[in-house]
Amino acid sequence: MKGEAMSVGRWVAVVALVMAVAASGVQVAMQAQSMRQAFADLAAAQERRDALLAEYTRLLLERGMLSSYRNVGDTASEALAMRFPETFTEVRRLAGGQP
Amino acid sequence: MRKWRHYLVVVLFLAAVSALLARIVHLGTTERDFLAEQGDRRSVRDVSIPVHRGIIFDRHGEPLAVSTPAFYAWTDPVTTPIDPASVPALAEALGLSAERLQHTLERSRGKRFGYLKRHVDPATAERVRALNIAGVSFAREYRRFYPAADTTAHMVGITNIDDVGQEGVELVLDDYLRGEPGKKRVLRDGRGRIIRDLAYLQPPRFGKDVRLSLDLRLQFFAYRELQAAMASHNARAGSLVMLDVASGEVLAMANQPSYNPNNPVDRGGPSARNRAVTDTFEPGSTVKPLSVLAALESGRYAPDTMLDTSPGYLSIGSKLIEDPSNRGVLTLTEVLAKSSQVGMTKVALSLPDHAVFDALGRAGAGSAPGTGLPGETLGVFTPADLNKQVGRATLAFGYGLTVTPMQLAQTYLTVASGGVRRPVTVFTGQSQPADERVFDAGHVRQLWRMMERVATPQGTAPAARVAGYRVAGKTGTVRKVGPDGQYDDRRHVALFAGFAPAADPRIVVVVVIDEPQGALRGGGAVAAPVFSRVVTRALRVLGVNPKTPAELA
Repeated sequence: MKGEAMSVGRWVAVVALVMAVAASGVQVAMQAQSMRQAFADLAAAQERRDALLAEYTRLLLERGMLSSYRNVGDTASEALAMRFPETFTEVRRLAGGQP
Repeated sequence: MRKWRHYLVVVLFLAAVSALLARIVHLGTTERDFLAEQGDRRSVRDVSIPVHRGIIFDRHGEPLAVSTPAFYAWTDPVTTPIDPASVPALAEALGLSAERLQHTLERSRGKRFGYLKRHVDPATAERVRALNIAGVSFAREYRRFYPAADTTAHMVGITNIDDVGQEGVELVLDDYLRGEPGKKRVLRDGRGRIIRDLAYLQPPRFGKDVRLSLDLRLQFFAYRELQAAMASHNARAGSLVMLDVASGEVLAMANQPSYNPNNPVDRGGPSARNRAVTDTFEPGSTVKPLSVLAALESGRYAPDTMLDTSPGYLSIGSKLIEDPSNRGVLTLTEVLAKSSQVGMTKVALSLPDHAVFDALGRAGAGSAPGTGLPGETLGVFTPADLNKQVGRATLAFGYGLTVTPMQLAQTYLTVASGGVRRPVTVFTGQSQPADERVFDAGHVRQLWRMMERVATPQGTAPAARVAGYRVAGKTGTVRKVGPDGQYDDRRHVALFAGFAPAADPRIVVVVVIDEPQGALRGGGAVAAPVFSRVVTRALRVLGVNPKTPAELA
């Protein structure tokens, strides 16, 4: 009687363990796959970040060049024939108090 | 049929199979780890993940130093030598001459790593990859650009080819800007290309951006005017420092000669020196406002106190102190405005021994301005000669001590801030130590009015005037000490230090022109016009309202 119960209990335990081993095996495979996927995503994201960074720094440098005071000053004085007001005789205050 | 032949074949065959089996078992058991390691060594690598160096901005977000992604081309001549037939095509795609590339390849022969070219832009790298030449690999790196080039070279500094700070802010904040490269384990194919990432060992930490207190607009005006003055007076060197009075922040710091940090050939040498913080000189008459302040503090002098400067010279011991002409009786204000050595000597000798020294020290002479820039020097400032009359007299008109342009700017900052000592900084928006009041506000305001007289036709620097604004300052024309230790009458430093607007100071500007060679050599003729032009532009850029002629009168 006791031996029979033991053997049923043992069977349940073995089946449970086998299922657990199988499940963990599947898990390992899935984890490996998801890690590969995550790595691939990371690599893609890094590539994208590098591309955006390259674009951003290029635009930053371009803006810096175009808006440089050398450039703006030359354009103002040469292309637009503007000159800096060296002397003035009157300061008008407009409404709001700004001159 | 002879049976033995059949058995012989079977035995030989079995012997061969068992030998193979034994070898397999041997390799698979005892040699296994060694072989696996050897295999991995050929294909598994730990590579570093380079990080982007932080960007340096000016106070309004204009870029001053930017790293942009690039590649370096490299080769491993031992495992995958480059086919000599493909060298010309490779050289052309990389933008090198075939001989140069051949030379590079020969130098790296027998090594496991050799650079083919650094700082290859992404488009070029793509073109070379398309050629599909075995043995050529690319790896990520960053290349640093300085959009403002020579204008900001000394302040911003430079990095070397490996993106490590060498000068200026690049050096001071190197750790902060640089970040920390990451590390990953990868699998490579025979051509050195990464085929698979195996493990991510350490995530990269990107460098952080830095915002300087510099205003690129003001920096540009300062640099250009300094450059123009250098050219027209054929001077040896020059510096200009502009400080924000309210915060002690450096708005502009220009030096001549300068260099283009984008051009590696240009780097180094005397033009790389940040003269504004490294070079010292005797400040001469520019310290007279502090001597006058000491006189006002003593309670024995007021701006209209009369002093007899005739006959225009005075001898103390063996030293003769003289004015260019006999100016007769002057007020203390006129002594400052006309920069009378005789008048200043009389004032200094009537004060307690340490009075002038003490006032200079409180204003900032002899102490570090605290910018932290590389090579910042302190100059000489000791009380050693104060027990002698001649020592006290010469200190009062700026000899016997040395300062850097930045230190002189700091002493003027103390005056312009109404007598409050403030540390100087090249960064913006940082919490600063508390201000320290070192002079009485009433005395300092009296001094402001007196210093305004310098920039009038009655003073030494009418050229310092700024249309629409009141300015205050002081000229200085200092003889340099020659190699023989004696003062040289032909080599001068022309100085102007001042602040504007005079009634409510916003900026302090110090102009130093070293060894002007033309007919004009004085601070009033050489340095004051630079001050005037820079301040004119700066006040408008900063949005300071001009005064009407009626208000100015």
